[in-house]
Amino acid sequence: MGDSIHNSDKRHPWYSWYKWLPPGKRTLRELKHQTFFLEQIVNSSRSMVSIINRDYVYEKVNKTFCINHDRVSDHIVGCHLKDIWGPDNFVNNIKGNLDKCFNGKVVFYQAFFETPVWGKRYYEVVMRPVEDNHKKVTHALTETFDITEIKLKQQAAIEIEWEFRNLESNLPIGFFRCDLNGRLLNVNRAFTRITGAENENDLIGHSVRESYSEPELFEIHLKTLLAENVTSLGHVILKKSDGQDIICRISAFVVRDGSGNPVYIDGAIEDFTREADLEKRLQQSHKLDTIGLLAGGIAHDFNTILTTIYGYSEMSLEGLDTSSEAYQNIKKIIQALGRARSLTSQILTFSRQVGQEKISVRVLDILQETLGFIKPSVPDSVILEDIINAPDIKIKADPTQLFRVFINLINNAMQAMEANGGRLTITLDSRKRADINTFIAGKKSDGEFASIKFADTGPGMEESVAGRIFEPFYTTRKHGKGNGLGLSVVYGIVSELEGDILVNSKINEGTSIDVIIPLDSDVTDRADTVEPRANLLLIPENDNEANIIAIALSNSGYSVVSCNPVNNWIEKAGIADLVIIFDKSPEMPANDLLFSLSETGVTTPVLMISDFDIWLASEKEVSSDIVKANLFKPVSLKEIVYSIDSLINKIS
Amino acid sequence: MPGVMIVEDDASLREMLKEALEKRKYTVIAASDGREALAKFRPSVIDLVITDLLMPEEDGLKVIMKVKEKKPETKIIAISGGGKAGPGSYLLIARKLGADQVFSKPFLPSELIQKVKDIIG
Repeated sequence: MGDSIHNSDKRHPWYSWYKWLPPGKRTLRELKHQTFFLEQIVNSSRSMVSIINRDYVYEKVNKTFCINHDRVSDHIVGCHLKDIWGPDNFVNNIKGNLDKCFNGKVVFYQAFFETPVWGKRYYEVVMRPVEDNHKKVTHALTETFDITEIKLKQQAAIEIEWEFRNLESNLPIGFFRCDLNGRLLNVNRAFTRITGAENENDLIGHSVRESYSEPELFEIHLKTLLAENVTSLGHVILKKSDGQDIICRISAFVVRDGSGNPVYIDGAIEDFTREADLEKRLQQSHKLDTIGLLAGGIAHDFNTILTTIYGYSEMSLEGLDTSSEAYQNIKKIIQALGRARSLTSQILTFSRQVGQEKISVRVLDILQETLGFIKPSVPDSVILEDIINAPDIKIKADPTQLFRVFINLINNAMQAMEANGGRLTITLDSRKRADINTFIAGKKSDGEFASIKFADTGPGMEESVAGRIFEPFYTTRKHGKGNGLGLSVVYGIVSELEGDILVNSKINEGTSIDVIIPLDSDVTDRADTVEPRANLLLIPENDNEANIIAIALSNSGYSVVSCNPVNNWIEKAGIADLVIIFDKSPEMPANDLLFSLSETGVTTPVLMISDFDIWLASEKEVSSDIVKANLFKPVSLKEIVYSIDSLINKIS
Repeated sequence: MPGVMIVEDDASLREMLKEALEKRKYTVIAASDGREALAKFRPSVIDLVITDLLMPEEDGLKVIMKVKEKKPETKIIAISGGGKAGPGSYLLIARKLGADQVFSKPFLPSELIQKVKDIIG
């Protein structure tokens, strides 16, 4: 008897382990001997090992089990599982699995269990059915391994992977893997987005070479990568799937196997088109700043020299017969000086050395006055169209300078379309920062911008020309047509307003120039009850240029009335604090107006705003006692306000 | 006759203004920079100071302040032709400091002389 395993103690808990012993060794004595060793092994295991019967009661536990529960074996054996692990845990985690095991299945699962010694830990549990010789499952052999450390590491790895995936899918960096010939094996979503493909599958299998706008460069890159350990390949021009060129920064490296043989190429691309464009424009803006500094310095010295020439010319005129040749020649010198003066003033505006008086102004008001001013001179072959999408937007600017910007840009477009006619579309819009590719505009504001876009259907410009149009004296026109300062002046004024100008031009399609100026964020309206700074009478009314000055002055806190010099204008002049006469000679000779004023004994001071040339040419018959100050176009709000204030202060 | 001081670093412009004013019988003292001007300033002689604003050594704003300190009733005409801070803002400061009149270069000297006549007769 007894030698057979089946005849040994059938219910011995280590029964199932006996089966693993070599058949020849299975004597009872040997078995007992072996059992002792097995118990040693089982007891020294770091896992908790136990035998559970079908009543869910422990029949045998190993030493680790006891240690973990801080109890001796006798206090565990005979206990129901729910008394050891708690009723909830038993029902939720253990019972179901045990039942499966009792049905003959080997069960693996992982769960949190709490032991008195270690507290809550994460365990992997293996339950194996133990059969009697009738193949009936009588017990479950369970091993419980503490896998908390592994689990934590796993979780950390998952988190890292998750975070990396998150980065990889959200960052605008396109990752790719390709074979050694450049054929794409794998790409991420950003890569698809940058290259403009519909989805990843459209790209896989294609060569990166196809995306290069210069395929020779691809060959060079491939060679460099394989030969040297270069990772940054610099900027390349790639073609999107719609044919559009994009500038990308590309970096890649060769993935090698254990023996150092190249296997793949892994790399990343970043769309740099926007930045490259900005960089180019930043360089242009630096260049313009440098030119401005230089030109401004020269203009400053020139103004001093011009003053000296003016002085000696004037002194030489004294006592000369007006019909003499010398008199006429000196007059011509003075006229030429007028042109020089206008040049230096434009250069100073370009170099932003003329501070601007900025007031809150509705863009549409100025745009409409400009259009009113320009319309009579628009040739029939040109259609002028305005699209006003944002009629109420306000910016902080000097209206007279804004007028200069608009006039210059419109004139420029007109000249571009002079030969063949076309259409000039002026669009007024408000735009969000994110929609504008600018770095200059409104550094101090992250709000919205006014966009005034002048789009013509002229011949367009080459990129090399478009990049230089704001440089002073740069002109593509024939000599004698403009001095090449118009756009420089525009640039200077807009820069002073913390604005930017975006130029877009295509040969044979036309040019669009988009002036971007930060909106006036201060929405508080001027209280109407505030006493006006002064009562002004502006003559004439219904003149676009004079209207702009009226807008500028009333927005600066003056009460402005405009009227034409008819009937009761003298009366109005009498009660005003100051009369501003906008000299529109020869239709309305300023001399006549001054004469009428002095004749009726009106003592209100007069501020004249005239064209320098016209003013020089006119004979001043009336004593300058009435005209207290003279300003010459183009005049800035700052100059007008200053003159008004000093005139009014003098009276009071 | 009233006395006028001209402070201007550009020699030819200084000479021209001096000549033009002397022709109209003003007593003229010329200085090429702010330091020289302050050294030459005599309250008993000078009624009006015409000063450039951007000059080496002591600039025009300093001249205005010091002159007003020495003789508050001195009249001031400031002239400027540009510069980094912008002539507009410089002239504005000049006015705040008490300049009675400011001129942006280039100006017609006849206008300046008219103003001198308006201010000190």
